[in-house]
Amino acid sequence: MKQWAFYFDSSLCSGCKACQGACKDKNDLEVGVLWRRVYEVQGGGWKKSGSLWLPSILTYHLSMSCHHCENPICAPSCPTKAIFKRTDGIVFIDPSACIGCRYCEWACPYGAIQFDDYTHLATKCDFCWDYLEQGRPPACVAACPMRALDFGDLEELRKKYPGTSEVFPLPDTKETRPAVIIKPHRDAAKANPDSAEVANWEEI
Amino acid sequence: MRREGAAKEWPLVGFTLLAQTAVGAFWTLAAAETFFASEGALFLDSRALLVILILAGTGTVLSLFHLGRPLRAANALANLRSSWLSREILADLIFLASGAALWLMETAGFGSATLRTGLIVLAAVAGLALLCTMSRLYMLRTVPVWKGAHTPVSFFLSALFLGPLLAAFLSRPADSADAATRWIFVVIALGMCGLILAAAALLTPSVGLLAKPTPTLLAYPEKKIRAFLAVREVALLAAAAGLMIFLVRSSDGSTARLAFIGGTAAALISEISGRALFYAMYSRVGV
Repeated sequence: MKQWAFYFDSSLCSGCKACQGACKDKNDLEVGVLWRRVYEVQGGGWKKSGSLWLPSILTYHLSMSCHHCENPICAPSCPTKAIFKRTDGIVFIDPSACIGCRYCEWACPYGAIQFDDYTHLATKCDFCWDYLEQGRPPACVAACPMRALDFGDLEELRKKYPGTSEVFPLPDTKETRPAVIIKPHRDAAKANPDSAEVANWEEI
Repeated sequence: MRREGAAKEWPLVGFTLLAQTAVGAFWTLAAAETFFASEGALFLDSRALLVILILAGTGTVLSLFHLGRPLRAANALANLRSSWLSREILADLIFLASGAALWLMETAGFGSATLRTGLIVLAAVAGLALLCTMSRLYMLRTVPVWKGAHTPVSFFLSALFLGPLLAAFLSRPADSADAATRWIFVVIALGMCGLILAAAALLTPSVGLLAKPTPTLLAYPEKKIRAFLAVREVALLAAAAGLMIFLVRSSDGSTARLAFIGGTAAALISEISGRALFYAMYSRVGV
């Protein structure tokens, strides 16, 4: 079975948010609705080494959309069956069935479900399925100036790129099995709840 | 934009508390009728049933205000196979329908005793299913602060506390045997004790989280949590004091009435604040 998936190279990402902007533009998203979000992870401080104070800091970016999980926790939670997994692996919301109860939003550990205050419906990344049908890449992938984003079938991506799906502050992947491969930034190894935090909550 | 968790869920505060109160009152009155059948007291009379139905119905209507598209509310029943929310709504509707049928029987004066018993059992079981599904839907794997046993414990104890209080209001001592009335108040006292225990159980995880918030959990408005917590604790003590005075001074009409009304009002404030606290505590794993 096909499973569309994203690849993200955190070591290349400069945090410019072109992906986020392209996604908003292509999908005409309202203010406050972000189907792709760029998290700025920061941490560290000054460290004394002998008589010197040296900076010991970490910073990296994570560009995250819906991960179209292999086991999406949002779908079985939905009381209306509005959220379902297509045969190509894309987790899709049927806007004509959604009642806007926001239960899926509570459940998703990736903040992928974005409630639209104008339509009063739950919305999320649809992998630009219409572009895929035209043989075009998703808007975010096409827009990235650093070529940090790629997409493809999950199995093929796994062969192409070594990587992980668990980078701080993303959650444990056991339950949801997200269809995303991330190449971590070198600083990610030093990041943990005590040493780092998301620094741009007001933007996402 | 980072959202303030689920702190603004007032329609759900109303729905959950009203549903639990209605179910708890129904259970108490049904149990009182069963235990005191020999005394011939009718607890589930048309007036009591009407009040229970109005409360449960108001709760259901309030829940619609939580929806982005309330006119599509019927869709909520579409996923009984896997969604606890669908199951909750079904249980709520069965409770309402069986309660309404009972009320109709009492008001119009038709139907056999067997049918009445059957409907009482159906409504009581639907009420139990409602509380179970309501608890289960919040126990999401990705929301550790709701995942624990404190969620069903606090929901059931709200029903076993506010329910008997309402039942005490609805039962008319003049019509029923003294023993039955006393029994209801014993339940209230037990519910009171249970609630204090539940408060302790409910607050343990929140206190833990307040002590060490992590960047992997969405932030919550700490000031609001502390305010809800303070109101809940103080009102709980006031409720306990009011009901104790009532139990001790039940022979003194005006003092007892005042203590009971004051205690009940404090209990309501405490429960509302406690439930608001429950929603304010929302924080999930991940981002």
